[in-house]
Amino acid sequence: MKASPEHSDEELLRLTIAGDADAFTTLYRRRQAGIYRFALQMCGSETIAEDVTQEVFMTLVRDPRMFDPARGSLASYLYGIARNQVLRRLEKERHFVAMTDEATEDGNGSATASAEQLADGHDPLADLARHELIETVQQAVLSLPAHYREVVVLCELHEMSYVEAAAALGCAVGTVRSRLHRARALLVGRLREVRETDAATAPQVDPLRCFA
Amino acid sequence: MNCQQFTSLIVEAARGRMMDAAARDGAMRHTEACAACAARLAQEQNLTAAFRVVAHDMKDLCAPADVEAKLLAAFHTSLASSNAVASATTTNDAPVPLGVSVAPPSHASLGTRRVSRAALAIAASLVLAALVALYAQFTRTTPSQQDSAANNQPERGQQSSPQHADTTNVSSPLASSNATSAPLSEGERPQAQRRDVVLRASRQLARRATPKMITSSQVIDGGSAIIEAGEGESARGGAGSSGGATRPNEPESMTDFISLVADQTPAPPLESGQLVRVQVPRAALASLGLPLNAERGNEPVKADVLVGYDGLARAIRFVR
Repeated sequence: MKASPEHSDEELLRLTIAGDADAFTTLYRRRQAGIYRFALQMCGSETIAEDVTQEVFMTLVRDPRMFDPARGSLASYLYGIARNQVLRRLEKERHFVAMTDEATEDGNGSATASAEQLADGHDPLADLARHELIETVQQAVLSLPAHYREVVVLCELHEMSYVEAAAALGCAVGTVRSRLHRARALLVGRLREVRETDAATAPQVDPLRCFA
Repeated sequence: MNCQQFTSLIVEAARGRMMDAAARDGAMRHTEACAACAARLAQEQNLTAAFRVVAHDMKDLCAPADVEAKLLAAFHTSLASSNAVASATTTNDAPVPLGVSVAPPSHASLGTRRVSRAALAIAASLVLAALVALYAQFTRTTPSQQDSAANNQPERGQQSSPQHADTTNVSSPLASSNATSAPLSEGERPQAQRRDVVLRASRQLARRATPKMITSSQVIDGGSAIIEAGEGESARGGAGSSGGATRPNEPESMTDFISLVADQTPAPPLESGQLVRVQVPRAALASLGLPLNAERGNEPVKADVLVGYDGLARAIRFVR
């Protein structure tokens, strides 16, 4: 049987075990983006996310028979490996703090993008607000404790159901639900704090000196 | 619906996921009446919208292309190594599936060697058991003779008590384990129980049976040349004349029985057995953890070995 994109994850894994490299490639291309994004959203580092993605699929290469279909889908299994890897890396590197965001360092790239957006008729203020919002939410998510963060990432950013998230995290559905409630409450509080801080530190405009 | 009930539904309502229609309607009606809950719902809905923006913004992110190349290389390497192992161990050319480990040849031959040793040990045990059974047939005595022999012989427990304190001092920790009440861990309990069973059975048999005298060389030779047959005091007299430390008509002192059953390997239950007197090198004391006088290390020492009818030696006690 030849591997094709129509095959389910489990069929592709079976072919992979039988030595079919195409099946492995298909499976990797189908699942790598989700795993990479999960790792990136969990740790905020592209380097770690890349390592975690590689390690997840290396685990599949080394010991594909570890997957037990009775315990959940292959996707949940892969997310579970990724989660363990991320937590391990975070534990190892918790003493280090990223100084800058790698993605926002490229000044030329940003300028080029802004020019293109202006030419396309984009509203730069709206884009700025959007980027600020994204940055703020990402930082707020990263500031959550890991057990809340993983639930937010899976259920909100990856739109998994409670059941899928529970299978990936190896906990009960009720635990996922209660953690999500608590995490959202924390996020609402933190985003409110950020808004209030921004408002307090914004430059005050003296209306008397404004002649516009 | 009150505010507490609304709180339990607010996340589901804000996320816009499928939920019970009646509960959703109830929650919406509550927000019309409660401004605080309406504000909280608005905050939660804003958060959901923000999550969607973030998810949309990151939807095209994926791992760099070189990760795929590295993984494919690893996949091919793993496949090649599996096939190499398979071709080294089998004549079958079919590829070995990924992740299947094949035992290296050294392990396989080691396993065969272990099996053959085990078979040899079993065969030897069977031969020994047959010999002991044969010996028992030849030396079987009538019950009346046994009773009279037992009456002539003092009780073993009495012999090993106070007047022979020097002998009881050398009893091993194994032998004294049933007398102490030190708490045992969960893992130690079954082993200790097994030892106790063997030692109790040894004492019972020792009361009923009288040791037969054979020499250690005879035992080593497989027990084919057996025994200065004799019972009770006459047997011990024979032992004294054959080089043992005890003189005729001299009361013997003996240690408690020491279990010879290995802790890890459960022995078959001891239903009946034979008490066999042997002479062993004094160094055997040291191998069982008993103190040894180095100056007399070359002298033989008498011992009673309890041999079950399955041919396995269960316990030993030393006689002086």
